[in-house]
Amino acid sequence: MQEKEYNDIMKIGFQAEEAIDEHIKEKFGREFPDKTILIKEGETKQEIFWLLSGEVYITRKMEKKYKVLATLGSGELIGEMSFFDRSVRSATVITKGPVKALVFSKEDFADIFRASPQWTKRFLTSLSCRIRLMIEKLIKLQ
Amino acid sequence: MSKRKYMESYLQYGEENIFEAGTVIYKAGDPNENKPIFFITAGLVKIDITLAGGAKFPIYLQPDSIFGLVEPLAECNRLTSAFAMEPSILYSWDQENFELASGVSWELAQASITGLTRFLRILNAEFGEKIGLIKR
Repeated sequence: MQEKEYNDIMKIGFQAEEAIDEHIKEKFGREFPDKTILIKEGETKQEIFWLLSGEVYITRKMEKKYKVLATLGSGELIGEMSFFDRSVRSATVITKGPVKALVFSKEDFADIFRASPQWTKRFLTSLSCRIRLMIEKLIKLQ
Repeated sequence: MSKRKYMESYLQYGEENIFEAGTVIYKAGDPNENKPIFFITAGLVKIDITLAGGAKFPIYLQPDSIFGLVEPLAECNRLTSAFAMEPSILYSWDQENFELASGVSWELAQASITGLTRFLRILNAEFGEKIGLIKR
């Protein structure tokens, strides 16, 4: 194949991928103000949040106080565990400042997969990186 | 579509492997090259995480589970060890063929995500317990 043709095909491929990304952002993108509760501990609502910008606090109620377990930012998935294994929400997630996120239901997710399997790889990679970090933390614990 | 039919749609990209009981499938620290991703069709597999001080934290996996996925995607050496606890039939894919297989099958993609989220939940609970955040 001529180099120009190859480059054109690659360009079309990337443009197609970007077009899907833009379509997904337009359809599922939402903005949340500061201190919005995205997920409440104990709920069974099945939505997944993919943070595009901003940060959220992951908190858990300990006796009568909320303890901040972690702060997550852009590129992180929130609520994926309950979403996929149908369990109750194990933490409360609150926005720390304004946040932009993609919000998917389970049905949306299957549709997105069919339109662009590449998104599944991004999900799997994000989860794998979190597992790697958690295993590394566990290995270091006495 | 029947379960057998949709399984064939993704298993066709993999290879069948039979492991005798007690076989080491891989060990923690195995290098970051040609790491297969496994799907259990029969048998029982134990995943061991070795904690500091040598204590082991085991997770048992049954048929329809996927394992070995974290390291190729997170680009690291094997973090855990895997053993066949019973005679086991496992399908394995290299990363390229796994992407092909999960690209044609939402069921495989969903099973992979579910498997990882469950694994993460177990690890989070273990970590929470170790640092005194969760009591079990």
